[in-house]
Amino acid sequence: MSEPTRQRTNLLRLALHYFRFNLSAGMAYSTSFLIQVFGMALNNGAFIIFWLVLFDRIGAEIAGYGFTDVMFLWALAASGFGLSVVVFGNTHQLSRIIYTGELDVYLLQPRPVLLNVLLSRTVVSGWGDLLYGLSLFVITQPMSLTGWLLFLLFTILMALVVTAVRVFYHCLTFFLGNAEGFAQLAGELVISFMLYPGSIFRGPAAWLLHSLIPAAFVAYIPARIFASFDPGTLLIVLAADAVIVAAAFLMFRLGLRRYESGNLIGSRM
Amino acid sequence: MTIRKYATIFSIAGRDQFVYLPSFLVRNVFFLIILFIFYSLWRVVYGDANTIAGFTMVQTLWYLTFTEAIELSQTRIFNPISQEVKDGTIAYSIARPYSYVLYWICRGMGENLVKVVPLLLEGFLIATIMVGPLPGYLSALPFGLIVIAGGILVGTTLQAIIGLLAFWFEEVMPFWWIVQKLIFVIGGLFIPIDFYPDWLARIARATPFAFAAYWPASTWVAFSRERFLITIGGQVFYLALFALVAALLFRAAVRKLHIQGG
Amino acid sequence: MEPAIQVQGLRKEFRLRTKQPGLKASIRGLLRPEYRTVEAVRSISFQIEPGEVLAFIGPNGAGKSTTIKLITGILYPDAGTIRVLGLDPHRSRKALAYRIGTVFGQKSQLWFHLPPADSFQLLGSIYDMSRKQTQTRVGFLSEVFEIGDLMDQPVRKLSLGQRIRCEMAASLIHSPQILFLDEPSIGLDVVVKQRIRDLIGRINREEGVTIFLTSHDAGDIEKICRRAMVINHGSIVWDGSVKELKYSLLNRRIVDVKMDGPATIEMPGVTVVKRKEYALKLDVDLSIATTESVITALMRQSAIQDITISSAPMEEVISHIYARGKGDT
Repeated sequence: MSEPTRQRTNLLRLALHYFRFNLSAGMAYSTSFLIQVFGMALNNGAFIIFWLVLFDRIGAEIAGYGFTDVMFLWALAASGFGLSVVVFGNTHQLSRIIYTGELDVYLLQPRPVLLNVLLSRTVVSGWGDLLYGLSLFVITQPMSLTGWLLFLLFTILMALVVTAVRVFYHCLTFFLGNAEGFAQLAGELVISFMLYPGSIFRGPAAWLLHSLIPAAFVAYIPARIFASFDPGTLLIVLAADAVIVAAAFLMFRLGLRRYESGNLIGSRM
Repeated sequence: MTIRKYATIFSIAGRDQFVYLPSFLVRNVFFLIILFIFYSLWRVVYGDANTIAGFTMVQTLWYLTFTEAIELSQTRIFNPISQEVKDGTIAYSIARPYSYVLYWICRGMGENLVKVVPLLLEGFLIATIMVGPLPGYLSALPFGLIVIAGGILVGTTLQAIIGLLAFWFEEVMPFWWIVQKLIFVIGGLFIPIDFYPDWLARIARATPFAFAAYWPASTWVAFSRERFLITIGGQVFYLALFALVAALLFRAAVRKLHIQGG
Repeated sequence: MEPAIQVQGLRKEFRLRTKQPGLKASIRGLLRPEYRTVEAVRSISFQIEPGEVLAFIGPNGAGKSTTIKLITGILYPDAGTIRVLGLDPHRSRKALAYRIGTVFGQKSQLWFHLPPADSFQLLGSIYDMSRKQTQTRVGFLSEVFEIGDLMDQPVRKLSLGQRIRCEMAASLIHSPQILFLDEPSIGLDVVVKQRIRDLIGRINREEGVTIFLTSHDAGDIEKICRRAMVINHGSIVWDGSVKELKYSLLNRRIVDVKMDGPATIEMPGVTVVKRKEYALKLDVDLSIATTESVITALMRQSAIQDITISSAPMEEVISHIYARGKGDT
């Protein structure tokens, strides 16, 4: 095998190893694991009531979205977010890892730094989100093979982009000192916007949702493609998502040059 | 004397909050954006309709600024409590000369009230810009402030109870998720309860969760003396009930602590 | 043979954000942050040969950790070149990582809630070792470090000494050629410290691993290192053998003498540190007095039963160097 190929397969092996490792660590406290998984699923379920009530009150459509369409957004966001935190479970810790200097440990290992950091932990409740998202998809959406394939593709894209957006904002910690709160806010906003019909946002808000808070490229446009398939639009989504992921990697690379390994003590943002 | 002790805890916790400027900004930006999302949604939902379920769009948006302000102002005191239970430091804390639960409630309220004032001011500005002023805002102000403080106190007391559950459960976060979601849905945080089908609305209005969101917010946006009295009465009733639950839980917990030796 | 580490003209600055307390200052700091530049490492050069055991000494904030982080590829240098085993630690970070090991006192490679055995398995796969290779290596290391019975306990339940032994074993899992240790003995008791020193010595002898050690502890330096480098205020102020450091840098001798009868001494440059019956402990400043003149003066008063002459203790040598370093700037 050539050198880059070997690197890639090894990375996959490492990802699998981390995955098994984290899962077995999580299962060690099995009651807590189950409480967290089902607690999260229940937690998400609460919002269905909100939408049921709203659609029941005002009729069939809100800005072109029916109940089923909104549920598609929910299914996609929950399973995508769930997959993101199950696989890349260390993302929400990235700021802390940077400003406390814990990144040293990863820099000293012969692996791609960012992926090594992100993969090395899992968030147990993410399984609840994933479970909820998949169930919601099965219950509320029409079944078809292409439907399933599209949903799986969009779930993976959603997971990658949600991770990338959070990484991007956490990387501000390299430049500004602890940006944890800010990054968490950005992450929450992306998710919050995804859960509402995209067409209710107009003007500057719509631009924002195509750029700094890219909910459009992972939720609204995929929902449209799911409703009526269009290969051209799918290509645009793939390209946009690739740009977002690349931006996160670039930001991390630039940040690494500024990394101070915990010498930033005393400065907080 | 005793009152002064808790008043001090309360005021120190409040002053302490001014140090956390970044989290202040984050909270208020989130508030702004979530209200913007609500505005975008309800503008479409109302369309040409004047009122839905007896609420005008102006009232609905103002209602949501109040419920969100209550929600976002709440410090998660169940976190430090469950932490103290898990790492055993609670054994030292309960040896101090004050009621442990009351200490955390006072400390939490001190922080919450400092947080809620900027949120209410910001909500006033945003809602006025988005949908215009709320009729009767000023005349209902003193009553609104009281019941909003009461709503926050109901939520905080629930959190104290969740924190104490750490004596029996490894992880208390899921309990918080459930309570929070009950406040979201049954309590009317996202939507006035009046929008619900009648049978559901009737049940929801009687739950404690409604007294932590729906009742205080609706008292301010559709003020009447009866509504104010119901809100206050319900809050006092549930606070007494929760205080009793917290005290019983705490007594059982201390007994457990003595048997297990911490 | 190519040097293990070669450093030339290495420089690193940090920008520290300065912030006044208070709400108003916080707001100002958020809008227009003020920075202060700190020169952590000021153009240092040195070379370390394979198999050397080097002590890197300096007070807190002198640039020790920064230097070690620059060499291991954690921090980017502002200027200068670094070659570790012939590799540039930044351009070839991954290639180098396979060949060096690190024990950084505060930053653990072990998973806190899991037993070391699990962490070793995972580290094995991080370093591309097969399951079998990992098993053999872990078996060997657990024998050397005597951690066989700790392998299945969660790390959080281990004592500090036990944990450091596991950390060291973890850092050696991929058979590195250079081992970097940043304050490995901090917070340990005397017995454990001694054990750690023995182990470091053994790794150096048996596996030929080059050792780069930073420490405050005089014993660490004296017992295991042959060469010492002292850094202060970002510059290397001393580089030589540990023996030399001890004998030439501090021009003092400690004279312990037991007399047959009463004796006292009053001489410029000589201070009586302790006196017990006919026994004396004297501190002699060789730039003013000589040991010979001291002994002659004592022998005039009474016969000498026993005498030892030793150089000043390592702790004092080190604090002397630190103090001198401060005077420079």
